[in-house]
Amino acid sequence: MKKLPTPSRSNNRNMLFKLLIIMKLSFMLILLAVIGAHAGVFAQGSITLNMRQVEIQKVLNKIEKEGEFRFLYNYDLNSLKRKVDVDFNGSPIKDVLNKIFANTDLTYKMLDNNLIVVISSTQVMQSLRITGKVTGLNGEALPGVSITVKGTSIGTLTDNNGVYILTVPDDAVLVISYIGDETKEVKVNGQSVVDVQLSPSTRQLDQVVVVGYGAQKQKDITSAISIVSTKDISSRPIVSPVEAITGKVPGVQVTVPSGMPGSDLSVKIRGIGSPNGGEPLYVVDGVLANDIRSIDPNTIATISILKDASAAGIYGAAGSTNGIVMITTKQGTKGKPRVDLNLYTGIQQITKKIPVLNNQQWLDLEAEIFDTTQAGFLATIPSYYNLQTTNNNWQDLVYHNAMQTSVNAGISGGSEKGTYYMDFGYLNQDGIMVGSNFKRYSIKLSIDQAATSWLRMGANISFNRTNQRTVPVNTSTQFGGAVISALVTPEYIPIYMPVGSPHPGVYGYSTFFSGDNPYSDIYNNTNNTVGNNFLGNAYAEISLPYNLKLRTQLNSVIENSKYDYFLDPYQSLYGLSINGQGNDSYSETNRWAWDNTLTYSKVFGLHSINVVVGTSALEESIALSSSSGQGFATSAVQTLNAASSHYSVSTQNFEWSTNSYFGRINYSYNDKYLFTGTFRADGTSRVGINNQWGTFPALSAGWRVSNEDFMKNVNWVSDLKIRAGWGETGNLPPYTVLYPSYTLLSPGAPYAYSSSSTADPGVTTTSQIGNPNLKWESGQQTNIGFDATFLNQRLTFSADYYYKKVKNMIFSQQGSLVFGGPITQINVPGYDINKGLEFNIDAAVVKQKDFTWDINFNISFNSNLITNMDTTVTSSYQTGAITVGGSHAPIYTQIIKNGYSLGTFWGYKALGVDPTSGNENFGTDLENLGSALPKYIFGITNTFRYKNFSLSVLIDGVQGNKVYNETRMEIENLTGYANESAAVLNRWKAQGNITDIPRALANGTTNAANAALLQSQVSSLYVENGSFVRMRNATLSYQLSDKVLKQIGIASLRIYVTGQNLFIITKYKGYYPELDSFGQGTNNQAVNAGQSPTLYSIGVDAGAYPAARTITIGANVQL
Amino acid sequence: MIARTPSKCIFIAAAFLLLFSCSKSFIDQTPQSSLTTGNFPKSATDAESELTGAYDWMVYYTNFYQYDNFMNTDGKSDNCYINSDNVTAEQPLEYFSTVTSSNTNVQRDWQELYNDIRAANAVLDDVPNISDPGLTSARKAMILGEARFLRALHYYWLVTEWGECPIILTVSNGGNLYPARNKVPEVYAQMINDLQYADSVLDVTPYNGQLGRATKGAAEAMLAKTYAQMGD
Repeated sequence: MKKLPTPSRSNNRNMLFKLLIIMKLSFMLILLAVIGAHAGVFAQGSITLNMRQVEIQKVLNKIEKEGEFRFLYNYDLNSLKRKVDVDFNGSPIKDVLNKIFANTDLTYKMLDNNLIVVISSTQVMQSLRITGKVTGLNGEALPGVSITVKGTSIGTLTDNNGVYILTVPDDAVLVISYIGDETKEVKVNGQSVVDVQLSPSTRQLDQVVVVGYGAQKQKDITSAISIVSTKDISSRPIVSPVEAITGKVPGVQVTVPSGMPGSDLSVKIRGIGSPNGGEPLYVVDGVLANDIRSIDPNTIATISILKDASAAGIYGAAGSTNGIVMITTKQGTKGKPRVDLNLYTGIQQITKKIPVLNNQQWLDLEAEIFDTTQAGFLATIPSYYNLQTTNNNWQDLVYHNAMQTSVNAGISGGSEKGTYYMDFGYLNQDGIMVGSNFKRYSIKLSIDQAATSWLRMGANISFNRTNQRTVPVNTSTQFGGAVISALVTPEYIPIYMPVGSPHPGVYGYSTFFSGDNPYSDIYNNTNNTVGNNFLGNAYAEISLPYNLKLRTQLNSVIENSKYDYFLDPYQSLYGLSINGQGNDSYSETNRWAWDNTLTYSKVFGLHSINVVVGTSALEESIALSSSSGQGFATSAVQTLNAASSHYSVSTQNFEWSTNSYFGRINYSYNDKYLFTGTFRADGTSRVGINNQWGTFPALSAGWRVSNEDFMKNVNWVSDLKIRAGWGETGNLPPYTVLYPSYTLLSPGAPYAYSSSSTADPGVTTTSQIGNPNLKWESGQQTNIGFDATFLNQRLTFSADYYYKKVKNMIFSQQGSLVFGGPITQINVPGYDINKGLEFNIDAAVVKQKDFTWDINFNISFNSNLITNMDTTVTSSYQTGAITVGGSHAPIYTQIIKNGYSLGTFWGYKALGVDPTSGNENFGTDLENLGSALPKYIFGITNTFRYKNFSLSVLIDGVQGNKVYNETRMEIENLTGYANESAAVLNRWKAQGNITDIPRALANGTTNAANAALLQSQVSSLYVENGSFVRMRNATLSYQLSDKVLKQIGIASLRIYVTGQNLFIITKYKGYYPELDSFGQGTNNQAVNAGQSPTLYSIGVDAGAYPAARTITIGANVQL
Repeated sequence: MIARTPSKCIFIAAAFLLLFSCSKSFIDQTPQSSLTTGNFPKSATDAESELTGAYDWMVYYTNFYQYDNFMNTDGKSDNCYINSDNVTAEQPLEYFSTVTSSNTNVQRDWQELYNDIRAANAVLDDVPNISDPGLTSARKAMILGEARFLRALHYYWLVTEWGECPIILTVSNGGNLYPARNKVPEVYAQMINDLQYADSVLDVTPYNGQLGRATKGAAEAMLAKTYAQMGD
């Protein structure tokens, strides 16, 4: 801040006093501003004064001494020396001032609290001390808003009450900018109070976007980066941070593969860039992570998505061809401590139930299946089952209305030199299926402190502890899958077996097939997982002369998880048969990284340059252990010391590391021509030892057409930028293959060379043959796009075209018989190609004081193709294995094959039910049944605000994808003893029936072979249209007015009601088209390390946990 | 206070960045929880264990040397009668019938012999790289000789019972997972090469007095048998 000019020497005597007054006033001003400058009502005053030929300054002094008013002015103003006569008797202050300032250039402003600023109206570079409050759309105070004087380096930030104080030239133009809001320019015009209201901008070009190892203004970005609005995170029941991305940005599909509380979501950015999977890399405050389960969504400040290679290229092989989700967490803001409370509570329920047969309908079906009469079949059912009185609707018993509650409390503050932020969070989410629950206790700490003028240090720490109780899903009832069990368990099966049955008191089961009722699946065992998740960094930043800045940052991600399973020895037939079982597994992944970067930035005339170079070292270790035992005498003690037999113990360690050198140069000329080049060299232990080092270059350029002279007169275009980029990124081999170079050996049986000698130990090769030449999968991506804003930033439009070609795809390959059985990891020549188009439109349709209406619409098209794959080794790869009805032999639903996209379902085409025989006819060859990858996805957000009310509605959709409904193979197979879907009521019953459901076929008849196909082969019968449109979110909120807030003494209060998943329009016959039994865990180190590799599969619903509709009420409070 | 000249600044910055210039070994990770060629064999005893594994595999893990070889050779002749009950695998042999490619015994034996060869190849891949002073160069050569003897033995049965077959001389076969068959003379040439080496390094008496090991005599006998079988 500029100091007021030094008082003249002639006033020496008074100088100290004046200075004190000034300081007092300044202090008061700040204080008043901080505690709410609008508190007092301006006094009318009454001045009685009689003086002759005195300087105006003295008059003001005199008035001040009366005690009611304070003046603020510049002592150098010559006019203050002018002598005036004053004669007032009880005059209002305004009259007094008007009179004495008459015929001078002086003018004044009255502020709150009887502070009067006196300024000159003529002096050109008059310095003026101004203050004001910056508020948001709903009148809420905005802290941390940047206020700068245009064309100078003068600037400050608003404090926690949105108030700023700044000394400026009185003709200054203030530039007010705030993340997520439009940048506003306001002329001071000699005013001493400049209040500003900001409204959220649909696209703000000066917004700073976090990119790898640095930040860039959005207007300078030349690659494909999408910024996700995070404003609604604290007013939606968002458990996993990535859920906030759903429907918000083009090219990014977020799915909820399982409704189980605490389960991971799946994110796909621009299709699937590898046959091994498609999850992106996460970078949280510069920390590279595979997941973000350590992060409480409430602590997220910004999310940006790096979609193309020129954006992600700086992360090289770690960058992954699947894009990067960059997250920054909330930091402290300068000023008085600010406390935020976010709370909500609500209820979740299943979106849909699937009608199944009642006892009578089931009996009717069974009689047909077994070619007997109902009475005949009834006679085979043991008498302790009662079909008349036991009518358990299992779906009603298993799915309930579940509570979800969350509380977050954060405090932030700081001084000019340092800031802090701290947040505590608590979440308790019951699952819609009884017995499932997720609790999270989280803490987040951020500090940032300037130690000296050249050194800054800080740290960000996020930690949480989670408790998850899961229920077994994603499998058939024979393996304990509760979702399918709730469908296939006939209604006559009791909850507990009655007296008179062989095992009274045990959870109900069917004597006909090996499956228990869903209560047994849920309650006869416990599945508890306790997790401790830590993500943090500590950094030091040293400012060197010559615009150099050094930053060193230590990163850490530590996640451990302890899973306890206990099968009760007395509650199920299986439990009885093995006297109970206990499993105890523990995993820990510990990742640390050390990044060092040197940044140089400089503006030379029209040239602006920014260079970053750096090194990074990263190491991750994974430790797994598990133990199990059986033979429990009681369920009172569930730990393994109570087991008496079948002990098993295993521990395993894995480790990998990467060392990297990287750099980036950004150059711009005259804000018109922009250029970015990045380079990264990665050396890693995860590929073959002969190919450890790889280089990843990327280039991009932009042309801001709107800054050209010929666009000067095109007023309706605010900004137009054309971008193009090309670059390379890589995928490391999957986590299942951490040491691909080495051949696995195992100690064989001891061998005695002769009958007289003792046996010697022997070692031989086993399941894997090393490939020291294995490379990462490498992807080249080209991106062309433009960003345009029109009509004074009311309308913005972005479009991108991309072409992503991934080569050296990694497959686990078994060699010919001469290699015996071992597999080896190989790079198969060929390509995984994703190409597509993305569009994004933001429009401020209505922008008035009391009413605003903003629309965001985004749509993206992607097509995936596997092509030119070398078929000399194998013509195709199968994936997506399912086991139906308890059969142990897996059948594969999907194929990876030249000419088809990933996620292609491969099976027999169903040709309809033959009206004569009642049998389903199938095609003779396996063929393409459609792909699980959508053709296009879209999202529309409408935000309306009327005065203090606002309504935000997010509708999103996925079109053109297929879902394999494995569940229907369990409930529409027309064989066996299980309960079936009500759809089978339409089955073929007599010759001539035209229907799409085949006949129920008698066991042992020739038709039974055909019936068996319904359950044993992949066919188009179960490939369903997975397209949907849904109302993902609707939030109605009310922001309390300042007037009310003042009375109750809090800074801001917003109350809201939110509905998630309010409706979904789909033809899918299962619970929810987004469910995916294979959708999780591709990034989970602890789960995948040491396991057999599996190829990517998607869109198979094999009894996945259904999704919920959630309605919550909540409040955002700021103290 | 901080440096004030450009050169000093750059020096400090560079020093800082290079502070963590990782040694090459930072990205060399070897498996900790599985025995692999990354951490085995390292010592003289490891070498012996791996060689034992090559013998062991041949004896314990195969049907060929215990049973099938007899079926495939003498069992097919008039020399003996086999009271077999396996209709698909054994009777065709017994009755001089055509052996089809789907005969499970034939496939099993082919695969097992190559597994035996892989076990010998593992010794030949790894043992030369062992730097343990406890492993004398003489013994190292003998270990390689024993392994090459075993490899020649396996190829002998492959070439006599199947004719043309792929010659695989390393565990990974250079990444070629689907090698073509080699001509019969090439296979014999490889066997002779192996056996001549074994002959040159093995002792007359078995190592450590363990009678089951290949000796110089065994190598020479096998060499003689190979020459006799070659029929050129």
